[in-house]
Amino acid sequence: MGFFFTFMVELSVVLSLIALLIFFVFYFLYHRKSEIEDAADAAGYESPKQYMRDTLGERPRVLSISAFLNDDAKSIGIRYIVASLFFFFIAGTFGLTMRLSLTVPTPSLLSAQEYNVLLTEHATLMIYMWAVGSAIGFAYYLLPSHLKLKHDSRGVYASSGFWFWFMGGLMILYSRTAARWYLYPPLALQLSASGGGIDNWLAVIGLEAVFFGLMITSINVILIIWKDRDPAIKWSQMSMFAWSILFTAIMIVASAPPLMVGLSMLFYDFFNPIFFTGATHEVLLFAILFWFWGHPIVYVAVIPYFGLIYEIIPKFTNKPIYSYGSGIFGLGLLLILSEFVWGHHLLNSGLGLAWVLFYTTASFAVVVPSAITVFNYVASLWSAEKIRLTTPMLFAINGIMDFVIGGVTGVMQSNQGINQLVHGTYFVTGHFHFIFMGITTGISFAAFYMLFPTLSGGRTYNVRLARLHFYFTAFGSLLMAMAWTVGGLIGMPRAVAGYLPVFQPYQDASILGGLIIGIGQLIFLYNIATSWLKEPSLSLENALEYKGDEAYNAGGVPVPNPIAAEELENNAGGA
Amino acid sequence: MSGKIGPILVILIIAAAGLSLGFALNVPTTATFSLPAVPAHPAHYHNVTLYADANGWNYNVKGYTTNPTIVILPGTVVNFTVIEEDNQPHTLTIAYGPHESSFSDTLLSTSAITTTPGHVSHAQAYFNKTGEYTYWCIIHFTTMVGQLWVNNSLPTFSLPAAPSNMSATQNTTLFADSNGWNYSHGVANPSLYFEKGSLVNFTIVQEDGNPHSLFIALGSNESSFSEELMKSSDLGNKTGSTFTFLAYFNSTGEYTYWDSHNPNTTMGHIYVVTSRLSIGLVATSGGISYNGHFNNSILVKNNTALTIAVSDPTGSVYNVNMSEGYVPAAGSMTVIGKNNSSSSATLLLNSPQAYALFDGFNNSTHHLLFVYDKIVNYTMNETIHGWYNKTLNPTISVAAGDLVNFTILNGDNLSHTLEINPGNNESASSAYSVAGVVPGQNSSSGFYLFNQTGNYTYWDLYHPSTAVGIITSGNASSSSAAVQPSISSLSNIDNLSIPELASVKNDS
Repeated sequence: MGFFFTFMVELSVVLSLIALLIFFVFYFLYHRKSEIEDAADAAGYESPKQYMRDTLGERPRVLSISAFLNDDAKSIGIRYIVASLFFFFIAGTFGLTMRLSLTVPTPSLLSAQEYNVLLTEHATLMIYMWAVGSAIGFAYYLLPSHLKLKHDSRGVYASSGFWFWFMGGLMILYSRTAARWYLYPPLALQLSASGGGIDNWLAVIGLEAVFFGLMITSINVILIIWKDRDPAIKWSQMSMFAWSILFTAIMIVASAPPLMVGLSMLFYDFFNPIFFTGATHEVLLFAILFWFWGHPIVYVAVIPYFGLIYEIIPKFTNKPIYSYGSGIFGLGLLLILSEFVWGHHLLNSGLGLAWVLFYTTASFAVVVPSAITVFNYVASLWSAEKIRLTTPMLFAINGIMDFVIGGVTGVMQSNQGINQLVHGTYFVTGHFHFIFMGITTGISFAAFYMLFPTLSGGRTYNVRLARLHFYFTAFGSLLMAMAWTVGGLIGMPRAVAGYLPVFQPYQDASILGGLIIGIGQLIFLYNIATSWLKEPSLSLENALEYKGDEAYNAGGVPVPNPIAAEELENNAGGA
Repeated sequence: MSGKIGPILVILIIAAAGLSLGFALNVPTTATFSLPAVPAHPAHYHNVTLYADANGWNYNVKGYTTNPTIVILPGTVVNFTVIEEDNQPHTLTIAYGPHESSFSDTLLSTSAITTTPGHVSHAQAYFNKTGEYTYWCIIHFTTMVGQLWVNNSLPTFSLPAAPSNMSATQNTTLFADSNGWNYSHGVANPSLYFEKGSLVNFTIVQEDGNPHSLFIALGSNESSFSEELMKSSDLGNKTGSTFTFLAYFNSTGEYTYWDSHNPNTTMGHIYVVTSRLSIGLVATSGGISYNGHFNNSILVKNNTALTIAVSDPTGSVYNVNMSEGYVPAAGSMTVIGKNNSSSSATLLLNSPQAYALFDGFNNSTHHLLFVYDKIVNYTMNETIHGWYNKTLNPTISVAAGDLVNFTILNGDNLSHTLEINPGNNESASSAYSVAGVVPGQNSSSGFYLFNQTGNYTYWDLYHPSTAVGIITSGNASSSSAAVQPSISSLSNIDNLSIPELASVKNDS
């Protein structure tokens, strides 16, 4: 029973910490509520919520400690943005360390187990805490302005969603799991140094907590878009970003429950292995429950950023996007198809020819909405009289290009023959890093740069350093992912702590790429630190949020506000 | 203040990333516990065979204990043999301490054990530190977990000391032969039956000049929890030499005796029973008679070794058959056959049951053999209106294992029978006719054995609609307390001696 005892003590400590945190948050909420009621009274408002909307609502919000205490949408948005930035750098450090450990073919710098921990943590934290987290952050931050929310009344739910997500991320980090991000049993059930990690059970709880947070958040976001937006903004006038967030939230609500159930079953298996390794088990069952969610999550990680690209391009071309309707149609089709292609992650697990044909065909069909989206971007740029290559615009264009490369290498894998060839190789790693670096990470930075004047309280960032950050990130990720793609095509296995010496050139190239990305991010951090020390010189209103989205014309096509070009450049940080 | 947020944020980010990396790289990468290397010449060896099953080590393997506790001396090398049972991945992992721990040594990994049923894998482990170890499968750690104790002395089993002033009640001679006890003297490795409380005088005769010992353990298998009643030096190597010793048995059960020099060939069993009973049967052309009758009731107390001897003065052809139930049935067991070399057999009767005992060549007559826990008398008066004892059609309480001697009194001088069958309803097909009276007959009696818990139905074949009632058979532990106290005629005669049995009791 000692094992159980230790286990229960650890569990109760974690639960107590969560309870303490919840109490702490409750206390602040309660305290704040009474303060707001007093303030609303003093200002002559009947309803504190009305007072909140008018005083906080759509107005610019600066990054400050209060963002972690207030529960209005924008504060929670800042919370997500900052937290996801932390996790990006944590997981990014893990990734870079993995790269550096592969300088020699034989694992020497890191043991295989250390490599597995870094591999798992890098993947899990990047996906759930960075890609999804920063998308939710921008959603909470931008939607009040884009939709002119008429009230903001579910802050408590939004906040609890954040803390569930955040605590879940910390638990995953603390668990030092080595079971890969898909936690396949029986490896995930082996609580040992050589198995899934001694504390892998905590990763399962942590992931479940992340899911609780995401479910709360998704339902809340759907309600914000559906119920809370200004009635003056019709469905056909919503910003593309709002549409993309709506699709993303629907995708999470539709796909997460199977894995939430699967994780509960997995957790039960720690005590009594009856589901996945027991007498009447099916190991593939967990894989199916996982990938039913596992594929939509990778679309969850890009669709919000597609929406952001639609928002960014018009700001620097001074014209609306080429086709609002086909943009929505493309993203919506992506949402539908995402639910039917999960089987392509299990093509080589013995699904049978009929299912393989179904999933490869469905996966190939994803080309259609992807192409609609890319052509829409290209047409928007093509038809512009003038494109201003500011840093966010550079990130956006680079993202489109990376998406084309990553998309083509992706659709190649929907051929079962090629899939068998590249399965388990760096080709796959290269494919999704093109997309995650170009779209997810690049567009996050683009949006962050555009929001910087507001977040920093009216300061400008150093444009030269920002450009440098872009070039390092873009070139580094191109080099790294391309080396993987080529190496993978000739058979370099992924997710292992070593490699055969024949793959040395590809590993060296990707290590160089990884180092370049790392240096780029240090430049980013230096830029933030130094820019924040400067005196504020700009208005708090940023281009992404406030400029160009007021005048949605009758046809439902957003057009940029004819504001002064200088102000837009300054506020967007462009040159 | 707001101007410093940026640098603070950056510093925090760098610190968080650095600390996280340090934390992640601090992950335990190897087991910090390992058993010492196996020496070339250990003091002891011990073999352990484990069947790997997700429900438990050795789960449902005949002759093996599930998750056995292994007890060894310090300085022992344990040779583990792990046999895959169930298609599941398993490991054999050992930690020092009473529980599973992450500080463990995996002797056999999933790849070594494989998931192929029947696959045999081996591992050696050396234990030189006393204490409690735990062995388990890291995948099925809730079910597949057992203890390994390294003790300075092995726990022993020994027979109890005989009361002083007691003299031997029984003599048993065994011939020590490497091929088996009594190898060339009738049945090899004979089963021995002793009454509880017997002081047995064993005489061992050296038969083949090889060294022999005699170990005894409780249970149906050889075990390390054993007593060495005879060392090889006691008997010596001289053919024909003898060694005698006394052994006292005062608890019932199954024991195993064997010679540690020839453990595979010399394993026999000793059954210590509540009582021993011998009965003599006579084979005739009209069936098998007992005490001059062809349809006797033979009452045997539960947990008795019953020796049946048959004499055949007329040279008739016979088989002594036994079947469960009140009538000769197909699938019966031939206890003694005309082809058997022996005309006697000993049966261990250790659960309450009614048997029919009959001649396999002529089953027109049969005896009833009841194995009972206790005997109860019950009398009822019967009329056309129903059974009567204090109340009409009383509900009778008995305990499972009770042998009830029913007496029925003829209250209206008509024909009546007492039929009993299991269940809540009358069932002609499963009923046994215990007793019956006809006009002019005052009373009749018969035995019925209740060998299971639940309800039985008693009824009258001639008046089934009025004369019917229920007998509830409870757990034996509820004993006579379950008997309705108002039924004064119900008396416990457990301790009464039964003359017909006492007369046939003799030594084997």
